[in-house]
Amino acid sequence: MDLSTRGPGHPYEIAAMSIGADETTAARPGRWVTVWRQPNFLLGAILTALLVVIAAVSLVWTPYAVDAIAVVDRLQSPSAAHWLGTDLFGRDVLSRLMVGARNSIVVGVVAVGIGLVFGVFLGAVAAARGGWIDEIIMRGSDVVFAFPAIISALLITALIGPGAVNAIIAIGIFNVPVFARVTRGAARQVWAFEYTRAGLAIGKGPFAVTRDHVLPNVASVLIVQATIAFAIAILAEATLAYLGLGTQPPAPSWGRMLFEAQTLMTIEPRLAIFPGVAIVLAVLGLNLLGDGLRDALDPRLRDWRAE
Amino acid sequence: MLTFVIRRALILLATLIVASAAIFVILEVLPGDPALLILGLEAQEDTLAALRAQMGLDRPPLERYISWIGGMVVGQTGTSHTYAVPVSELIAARLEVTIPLALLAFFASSVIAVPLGMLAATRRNRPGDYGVMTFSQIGMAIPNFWFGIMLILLFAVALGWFPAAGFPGWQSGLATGLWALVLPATALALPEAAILARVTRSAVLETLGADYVRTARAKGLSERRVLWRHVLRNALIPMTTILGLQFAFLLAGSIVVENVFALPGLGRLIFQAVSQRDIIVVRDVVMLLVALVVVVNFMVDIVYGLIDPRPRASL
Repeated sequence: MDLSTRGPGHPYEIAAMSIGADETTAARPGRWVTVWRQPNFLLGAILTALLVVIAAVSLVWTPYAVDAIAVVDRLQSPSAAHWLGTDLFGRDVLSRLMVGARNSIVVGVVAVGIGLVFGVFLGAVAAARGGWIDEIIMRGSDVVFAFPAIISALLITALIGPGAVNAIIAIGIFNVPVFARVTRGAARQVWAFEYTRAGLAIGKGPFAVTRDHVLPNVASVLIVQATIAFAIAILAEATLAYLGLGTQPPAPSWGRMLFEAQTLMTIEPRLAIFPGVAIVLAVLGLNLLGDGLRDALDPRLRDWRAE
Repeated sequence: MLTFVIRRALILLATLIVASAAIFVILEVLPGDPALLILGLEAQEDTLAALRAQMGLDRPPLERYISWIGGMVVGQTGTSHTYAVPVSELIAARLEVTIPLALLAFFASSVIAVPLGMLAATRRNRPGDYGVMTFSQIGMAIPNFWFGIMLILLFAVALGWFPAAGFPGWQSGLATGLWALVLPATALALPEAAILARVTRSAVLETLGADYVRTARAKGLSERRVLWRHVLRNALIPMTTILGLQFAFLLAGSIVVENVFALPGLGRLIFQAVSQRDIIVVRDVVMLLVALVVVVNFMVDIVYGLIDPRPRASL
């Protein structure tokens, strides 16, 4: 990582860099085999798969219709009919959690996608061109970094009103400099190798060298970063929805469910527990998966401080 | 070193100018006339014009931008239309909650995380290490607002030890005020502590393998002395960066936690100002928060440059 020329960005970014860097999984050829034996990676993969499967199932089936209001059944405790009970309007909590998973994934994928597309482009250009173009891109990322995602979301809300799209834009904007910096740092390392010079020498342009040599070599770093960014996006989406800046009712969102539960805390604390557990499991799974992928895909990071 | 500081200071200034221009432009293109918002739809045209003139809305944008920035620099701010007091007074009153809250969380996070990280590093791949790393993984996954709700459920609703929400104000006594901030600060501190514990562990592990640590041991220094005098001191370099950044993110995180606990801080102020379309308040508070983030980053860079000469050389 290019930590030396710039102070690092978000704490998560730094934590991401140092995570798992000292694991002593030495086997080189069969490193995928080794990784699968790590309980952390296995747990992360299982939790992430579970999240995706639940979201996929919710597309075709939920125990109850997600907006089915049944006032007679309101505030029920968990039972055979409603596994996780019902909320103030008699809606099935499990069904809403399942659709909430889908909501989290959609916001996360689009927001990380925005960060990837723009961030990788800017980072790759900065690394390939250097000079004043590099300088402008990096200083621009400083400016964007000065706006924590919540502040961006507040400004966008003031501008276009609250909503899921608003949350996606705010989290996406936050991700652009993250990916720009990671890409630039990793790409500069690749540009230091002779084969990139060789590519230029045989008449390839900087664009072709970036496409053929640089990007394939930084892909593993980006996959790891994308996994971590996905986890952060799920947390951010929940936070914005909780504050009323993200997904709007009646669309189910884990963060919004927690907001609604807080007002009923003294009557029905159960409602405040399940959505939170769902968020923790989803974020935990993605973080563990990211750690495991880092160990498997990026030997440089793993051997960084090997003893 | 001097060129490094000057260069960093210029970048700081440029970042502030671009960020303030971005805030100004975003809030400028907002639909709706602030004067109309204040006076209501039935207002007379000449009253509206008079208020616009009084608020300076009839002047060209560039002039208004410059007078806004100039005002911020000398502490002369506009007047909030919902509170009818100067924004600087509002901010000063709200900082009385937000700054102690952030400091308390910062302190709690450091006191918890640094010893845990050192413990994990010295007991590497043993139960203590696994315990700390599990705490760290789970702590990073828990949203601070949900942790806040859980703390309220347990310590306010079930046990009744702490107030569930609100802030009595410092005039009711230092202890009472601090007591009301314990749960919010804990909620704010947990995710930061989880990250910091992890970074401390990595930094200490890295230092433990250094030659001078071996030398210190070879000199016959006690293990505790090696750890505190040689290892922690050097591990502090990467940790400074994190600590500085965390303060900025604690300020932003307080926006969320203040809403969970209904604390009258800066976060709640900006949140309410957005829903009330009190643009003058939004503009000044956002600028203040952004400036805090940028200035703290600047100071971290300088401290980093002082401790570690390498980044200076590469600039």
